Amino acid sequence: MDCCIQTRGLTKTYGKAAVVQSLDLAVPRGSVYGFLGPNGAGKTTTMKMLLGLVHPSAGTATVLGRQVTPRSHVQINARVGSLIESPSCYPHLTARENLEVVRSLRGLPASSIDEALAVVRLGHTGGKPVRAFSLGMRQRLGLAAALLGDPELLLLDEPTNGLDPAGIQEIRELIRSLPTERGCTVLVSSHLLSEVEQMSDYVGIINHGRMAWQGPLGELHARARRWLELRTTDNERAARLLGASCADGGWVRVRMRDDESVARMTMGLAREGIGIVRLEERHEDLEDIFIALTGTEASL
Amino acid sequence: MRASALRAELVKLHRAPIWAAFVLLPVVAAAIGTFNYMGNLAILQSGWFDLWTQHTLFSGMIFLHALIGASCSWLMGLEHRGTNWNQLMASPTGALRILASKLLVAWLMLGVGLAVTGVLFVGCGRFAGLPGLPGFGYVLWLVLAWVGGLASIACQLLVSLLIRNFAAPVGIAAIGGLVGFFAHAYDMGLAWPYALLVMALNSNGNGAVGAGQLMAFLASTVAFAGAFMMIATLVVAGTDVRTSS
Amino acid sequence: MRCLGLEFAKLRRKHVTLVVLAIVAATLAWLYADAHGEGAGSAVGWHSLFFAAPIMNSVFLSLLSSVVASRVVDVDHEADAWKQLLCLQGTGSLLLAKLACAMLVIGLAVALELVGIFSIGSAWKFFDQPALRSWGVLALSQVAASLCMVSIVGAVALVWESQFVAITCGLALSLAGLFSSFLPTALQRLVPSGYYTLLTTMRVDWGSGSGVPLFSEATLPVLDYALASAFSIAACLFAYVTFSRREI
Repeated sequence: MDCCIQTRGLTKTYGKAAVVQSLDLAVPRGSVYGFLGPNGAGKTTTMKMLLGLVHPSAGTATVLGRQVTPRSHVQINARVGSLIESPSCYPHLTARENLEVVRSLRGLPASSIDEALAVVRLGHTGGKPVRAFSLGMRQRLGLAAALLGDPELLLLDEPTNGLDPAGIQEIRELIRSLPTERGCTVLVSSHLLSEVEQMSDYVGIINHGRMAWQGPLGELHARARRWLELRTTDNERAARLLGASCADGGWVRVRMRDDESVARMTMGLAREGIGIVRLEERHEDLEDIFIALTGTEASL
Repeated sequence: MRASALRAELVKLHRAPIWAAFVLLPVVAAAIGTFNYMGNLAILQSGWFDLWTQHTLFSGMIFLHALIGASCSWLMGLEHRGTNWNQLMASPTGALRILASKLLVAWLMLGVGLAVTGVLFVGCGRFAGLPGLPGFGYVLWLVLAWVGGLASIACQLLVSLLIRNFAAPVGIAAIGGLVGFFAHAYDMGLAWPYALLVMALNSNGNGAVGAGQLMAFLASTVAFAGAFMMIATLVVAGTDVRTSS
Repeated sequence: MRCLGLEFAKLRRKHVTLVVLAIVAATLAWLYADAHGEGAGSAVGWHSLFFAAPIMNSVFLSLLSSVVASRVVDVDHEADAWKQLLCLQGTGSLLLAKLACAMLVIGLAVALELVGIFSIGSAWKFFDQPALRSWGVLALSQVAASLCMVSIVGAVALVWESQFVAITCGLALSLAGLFSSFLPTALQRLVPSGYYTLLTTMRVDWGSGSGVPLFSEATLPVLDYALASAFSIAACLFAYVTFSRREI
C-alpha cells in the first residue's frame, strides 16, 4: 500500500505518563483518513509528532516518503498543510493579513490567498481584525491557512470545532472532495464517530495512546455482528423451538444464517402453527463497535 | 516565490505600529534633555557634547534597553499567544530563519530610534542656539550604537522566548542596561551584551569606541548576538512546541 | 476583600515578587553607591539618602508601578476574562480591587526599600538618624506618587489591550521623571512621575560656591499632594468611565 504517512512504534511519554504508545499509523495516499478517539486519547500529540512540533520519545514517523527528524521536518512541511488544536492567528491582523503571514512563510504566490479565502468563504471580511471574528470564522481562517498553496497532505485536528451545522456540513463536503479535486491526502481527527463515518474512507481508532483498530471504513462495517429478529404469533414457543433468546419488545433473536436455513426455519415454525409476523435482519452499528473497541461512548 | 520569514514579520507589524515607541522615547528624552541643558548653561559649557549627554545618557543607560526589551517581548509574545507556535513551526521555515527575521525587525526599529535621536539632537541643538553643526563623530557613535544594539536585541529575544510574561523581560533589559553602564564605567563593557550600546553612544564621556577598539567591539557584538541566536534556535528547534490554549 | 484576594490569586506564578525584588535591588544598589560617596560617619549621609531615594524612585519605582499596573490589568486581557468577570463583579469593585492589589505590591516595594535604606545608613554609621516622622513622610510620598503612576498606567492598560502600550508609556514617564526634578516646579507638576520628588520634604541647596550641599526639611507640600490625588482620581475615573461604557 502506498502510504503518505507511516509510523512505526511511535511513542511519546511525559515523565511517566505515556500519551502515545507504539503507534503504527498508515495513511494511504489519496484517502481521507479519519483519526478517531475520545478526548485526550493522543490524537493531537500524534499529529504534532508528524509535523515535527513534538519530538517522539521512541519510534519513527515517515511523512510523504521522508522520515521526520529535527532536520527534515522543515522540508517535509513545505508539502503539508495543517490545522492543529485551535486555529493559529494574530488577532490584530485581518484574515487576509494573517494569510499573508502564512503565504510569506511558505513562499507561495499572492493569488493563493484569494483562492483560499474563497474556498472557506471568508472573502467578505475586509478590514475586520481577527479579534472580532466568531469562533466559526476563526476556524474557517485556520482551514484557509492549512489549504494555502494546495498541499499534498493535510493534517486537520477537529476541523469542525465551533462551526454551525451548515458550516459543519460544508466543511465535511470540502474535506470529502479534497482527494479527488486536488489530489490531496487528508488525516482528519475527530471525537465524533458520525463525522468520521461521513468524511473518511479509512479509519484509525486510538484510545489511551494505543491504536485500537485501523483499516478501511468498509471493513469496520464488516466487523459488525449480524443477526435476525422475528416476531411471531407465539414468541415464547418459537424461541424454545429455535433455541433462541427472546429479545426486548417482543422480538425473537436468532443467529444469522444462510437463505436455505432461514427458509427451513420459517417453514418449521409454520408447521408448528406459529405465524411469522415480521422477519428483520439486524446488525451492530459503528457506535457499538467503537464502544467495544475503546470502552467509551463514541461522542464525548 | 521564495519563502520570506522577514516579510511575514513585517506583515505582523501592520496595525501595530510599535516602532512609534522608538520615536516617542527619543522625543521625550530630547525634550527634557534640551530643557535641562538650557536651564543649566552656567555649568554645562562643552556645547554640543553636553547636549548629547543630556539627550542620550539615561536613554542609553536604561530606557532604550527597556524599549528593546518591550519590543522583543511583543515580537515573541505574538507567537506565545494561542497556538501560533504550531503554525510557525509547521511552516517550511526553520527556527533560525524565524528568529533571525525577528532580530532584524527589532534591529530596524532600534535604527529608527537612533535615527530619530540623531535628528532631534541636531534640531534641538540648533534650537538651543548651539553654533554650527555637531561633528561627524556623533553619526559614527549612532551607527556603532545600532551595531552594538544587536547584542542586546539577541539577548532579549532569548529572554522573551524563555519567559512568556511580557513585563519581566523589560525589567531584565532595564537592569541589563544599567549593569552595562557600570560595566562600561569599569572598563568591562566588551564582556557584557548590554554594555555595547552604552559604550558606542559615549554619553558619559568615558571616550568613544576608537579605531583601536573597533575590532574588539565588533567581535564582541557578533559573538554575543551569534551565541544568543544559537541558543534560541536550539531551544525552539530542540524542544516540543508549547501552546497556551 | 474577596475581590482583592482574587486579584492576588490571579497574579500567582506571574513573577511579580521577582520583579519587585529586582527593581528594589537596583534602587538600593544605586543608593549604596551614593552612600559610598558620602563616606562612613557622614553628617549629611541620611539627608543625602533621603534626597537621593525619591530621585531613584522617579525612575525605578515609576517603572515598577507601570509593570505592576499593566500586569494586574493584563492578566484578564490575557485570559479573555472580562465578560465572565463582569457578570459576577461590578466594574467599580473589580477595578478598585485591581488598584488595591497593585498598591499593596507597591507598598511592599516601598517597605523593602526603606528597610534597605535603613540598613545602608546604619552600616555606614551615618550621623543623626532621621526621626520616625521623616520615615513616615518619605513612605507616604513614595506611595502617593506611585498611586498616581499606577492609576495612569492602569488606565492605559485597560484601554489598549497590548501591554506594549502601557509599558512604553511607563518607560516614557519614568524617563521624564528622572529629568523632572531638574525642571522648574511648575513644569514638574505636569509630569506624573515628577511627584516622587515633589511630594518629599527633603530639600537641598548645593551651597553656591562653598561646594557643600545644605540639606533642609521643608513643610509637607499640601498643594502637591492635592494635585497628585487629583491626577490619580482623574485617571481612575477615566478608566472607570471608558471601561464601563465599552461593550465587551
